[in-house]
Amino acid sequence: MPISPGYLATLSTVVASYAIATLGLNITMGRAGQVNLGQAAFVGVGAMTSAILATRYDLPFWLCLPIAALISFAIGSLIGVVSIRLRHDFLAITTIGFNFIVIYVFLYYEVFGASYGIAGIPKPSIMGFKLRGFWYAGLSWAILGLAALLARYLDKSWMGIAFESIREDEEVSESIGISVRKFKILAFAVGAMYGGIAGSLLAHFKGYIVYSDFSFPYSIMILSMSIVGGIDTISGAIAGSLIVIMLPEIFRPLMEYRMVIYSALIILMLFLRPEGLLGRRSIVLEKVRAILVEGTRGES
Amino acid sequence: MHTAILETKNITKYFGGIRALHNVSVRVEKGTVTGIIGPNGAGKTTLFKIIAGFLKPTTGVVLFEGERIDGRPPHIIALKGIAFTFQVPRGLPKMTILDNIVAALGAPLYRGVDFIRLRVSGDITSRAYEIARRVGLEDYVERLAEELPLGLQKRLEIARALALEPKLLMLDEPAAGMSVEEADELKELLRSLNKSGVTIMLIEHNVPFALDLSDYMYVLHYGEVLAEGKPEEVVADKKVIEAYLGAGYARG
Repeated sequence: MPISPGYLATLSTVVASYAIATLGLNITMGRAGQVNLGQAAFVGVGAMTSAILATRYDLPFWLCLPIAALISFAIGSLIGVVSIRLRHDFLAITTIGFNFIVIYVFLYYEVFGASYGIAGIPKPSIMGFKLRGFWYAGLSWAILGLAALLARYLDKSWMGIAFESIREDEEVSESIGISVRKFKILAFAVGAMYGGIAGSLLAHFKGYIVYSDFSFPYSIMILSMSIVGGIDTISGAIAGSLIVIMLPEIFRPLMEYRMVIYSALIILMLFLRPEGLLGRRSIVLEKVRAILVEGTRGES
Repeated sequence: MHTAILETKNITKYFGGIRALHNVSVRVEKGTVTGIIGPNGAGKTTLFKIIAGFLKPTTGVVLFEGERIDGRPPHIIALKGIAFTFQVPRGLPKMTILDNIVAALGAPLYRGVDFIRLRVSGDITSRAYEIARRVGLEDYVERLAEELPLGLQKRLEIARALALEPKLLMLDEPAAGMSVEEADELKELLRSLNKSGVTIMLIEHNVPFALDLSDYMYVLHYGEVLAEGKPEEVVADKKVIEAYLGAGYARG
């Protein structure tokens, strides 16, 4: 199968964008332990914000993206507030419900393009030079790189320990002075912000978005990326996105069944490799490390 | 000159129609060890949870250093200087012992929006090691909390509480499930902590353990204070012998 450069640029842009959304889910779910089955809704919030600002108000991409990130952060923190009183299973249902509500809002309000969607979202440009094709893919990977750096920084900040602590035991966290309320809100806000950045990138890349681009099955797709790659690592988010996007591309005839494949993948991974392919303490990583160590020993 | 670090005044707590505590007033003097004994279901843990902020009293107030703390969220109460250990040890299971201690050390340091700051690993880590040494966990710092045997998990509970540098340390059955030697070691640890100025309040089923450590004791029975006083007075109290200790204890 010949691969055209345009196709490759598209694929790599989509992989990078979804890797950002997955990074966000890894923070909310993997680090902080807050179930979120509606990450696609936050991608949608970012995409719609960016699309509206760019098409109605002619704002440049460089402003649309940070505003989309901020709005998603704000809406994420609202979901965080709702999450305070909910335990895992109810949180799962609530976030699914949130995904459906967002989709209906997009569908019923003209400003979000209703059933027609929003078209004509411009590509970003630098001093008159339009970023398209590989240039845009490069931009997406650069933003993914920054997003990964930020994720690493947050992990090493006090917030990283606080997130882990509330994931492990909320009462114990409170007993040692960690505000569970505050860090639950933050976990959703930061994760949603990543989703919003991914949405903004996707909107400006595709030039046209419609409500159904952010429906619940996309949340499951992002979840499968997270679980395949490893729910609490940065490299896992990128690997997961790559694998989950590439699989249906490689097996084109199975395209119609891709939701079944994603779901099966999630179940399989949870049974066989709950830590993900590149998660902490993952067998794949241990093997790679062992090979590298063996290799260096052989040389010396 | 005695001053109360903690006082509860007429605490009553209902769970639905069930009365768990009724007009419980206790006073913990600064620098002392106060023991609370009583049979299962007497309301001891409920009282602790109310003081720590995990439960709200139906009526009554809790004063810590003269300030009302009832109804405040637990993490605020923890930051004010009340540390609490759980009856059944609860570590942060998938985190290392060191991170467990660091989590407790950091909370007061990274308040407000400071959570965004990097953990200054050098200083905070060496303090965490110091605390691990103090409770005898120095050989386990890299292990996950869930891998520790029960006795050591109890120490982790205490380490985490110490990391808060509490003014008042509340221990819920610290000696439960421990061997005699382990309980003796714990006693020594608690004594030395008390000497260093930490006020201690403990719930115990192990009556000799509590008697040995406490300066003052309360006996809870069916959610009410049945007796209070110096340990030797309390164990000689007829009501206490009848309701809790049993005739055998008086003879023995």
